[in-house]
Amino acid sequence: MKTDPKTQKSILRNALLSVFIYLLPILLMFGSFYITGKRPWKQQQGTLSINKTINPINKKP
Amino acid sequence: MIKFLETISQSLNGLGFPALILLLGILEFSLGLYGKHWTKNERILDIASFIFPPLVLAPVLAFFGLKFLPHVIPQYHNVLSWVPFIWGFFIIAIADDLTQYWYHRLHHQIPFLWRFHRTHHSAPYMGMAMASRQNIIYTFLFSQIYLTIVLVYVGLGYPALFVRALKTLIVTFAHSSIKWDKPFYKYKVLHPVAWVLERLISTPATHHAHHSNSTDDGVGYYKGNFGNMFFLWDVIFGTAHISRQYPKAYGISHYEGDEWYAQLLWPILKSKKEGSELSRRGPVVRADIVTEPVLIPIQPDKAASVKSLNTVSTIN
Repeated sequence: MKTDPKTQKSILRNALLSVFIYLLPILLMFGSFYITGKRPWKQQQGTLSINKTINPINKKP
Repeated sequence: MIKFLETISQSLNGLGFPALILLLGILEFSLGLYGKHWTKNERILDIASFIFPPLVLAPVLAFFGLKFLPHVIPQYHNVLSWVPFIWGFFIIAIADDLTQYWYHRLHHQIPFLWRFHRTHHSAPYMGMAMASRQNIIYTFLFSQIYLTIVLVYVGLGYPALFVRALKTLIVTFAHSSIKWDKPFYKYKVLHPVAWVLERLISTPATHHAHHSNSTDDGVGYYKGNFGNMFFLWDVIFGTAHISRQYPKAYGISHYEGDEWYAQLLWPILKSKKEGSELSRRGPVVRADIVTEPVLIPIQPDKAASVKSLNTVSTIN
C-alpha cells in the first residue's frame, strides 16, 4: 500500500515550507540584533575569557 | 513574574504533570465521561502506557543527553547559552512542536507507519486515560524529544523548561473529555478569542475531531488536525478542520478490542483478532466501516404512506 501521489506532493511542498519555519525564529533573532546593535555572544565570550584568566591565578601550584 | 512561571514550570515538569493527569482522570471518571467504553482490556493498556514507557524511556534519554552527546559533540556544550530567553523559547517551541507535527502527520499519511500510531487512536473515548496511550516503539522514536535534548545540550535548557510545561498543559487539556473550550463558542463576546484560540493551539473541539471514528462528516476529521501544542501548523499546511462541535463517537470504526499487549508492543507481539491491522496477516490499513443511510427507491403507490410517516416524524 502506497501513499497517494497527491499526498506525497503535499508532504514535499509542506516539508520545504517547514524548513523556512524552523529557520524563521533564528532569522528574526539575528534581525533584531542587527537593528538593536546587541551582540550577546560577545558578552559570553568576554565572560569566558575572564573566567579563563581568573582560574589559573586561583589554581594552587 | 518570570520567577513565578519558572516555579510553576519546575513543579509541573517534576511530579506536577503525573499528579495533574491523575487528578483530571479521577474527575473525568467520577463524571462518567468514559461511559461504558473503559473495559478491562482498555484499562490495562491505558495504565501500562501511563507507567511503562516513561520508566523505560527515562534511561534512554538520560544516556542520550548525558553520555552520547558529550561524547559526540563535546565542543557544542552550552555554545548557545547566550541566546536571549524569548528567542530561545520560540526556537525550542517551533523546533519541538513542528517536528512532532511531522512525526504525527507521517504516521497518518504513510500507510506503513499507521500501525505504530494506531494504539493512540483505538480508544473509543477521550480523556486522561488515553492521553499517554501509545505503542512503545512510537514512544521510543518520538523525534522531537531527541531534538529538544540536543537543543538543551547546546544551551537552551532554561527556555525548554517553559516550553515543556506549556506544551504538556495544552496537549493534556486538548485530550481531556472536559470540554473547556465550550464557553468560548457559546458566548458571543468570547467569539473573537475562540477564533484566535482554535487557530493557534489544539483545543478539545479540534483535537477530538482528530480522534473521531468518522471523517469528512462535518465534525470528525482524522485525516488532519495533526497539531499538538500549536494548531497553527494545520492551518498553514492545509490539514486543518476547525469544528466547534464534538464527535458522537471516538476511536476506529473497525476496532474490536485488540489485546492490550499487542497494542503496546506491536510488531513484537501480534493481535489475535482476525482481520485486525495488528494481527499476523492483517491489512496495513483497514478500510473504515461506514454506516451511511441506505437509499431505497420508492414505488409510486408506497410514496403516500412514506409521506405520512415523514409527517409523523416531523411532528415528533
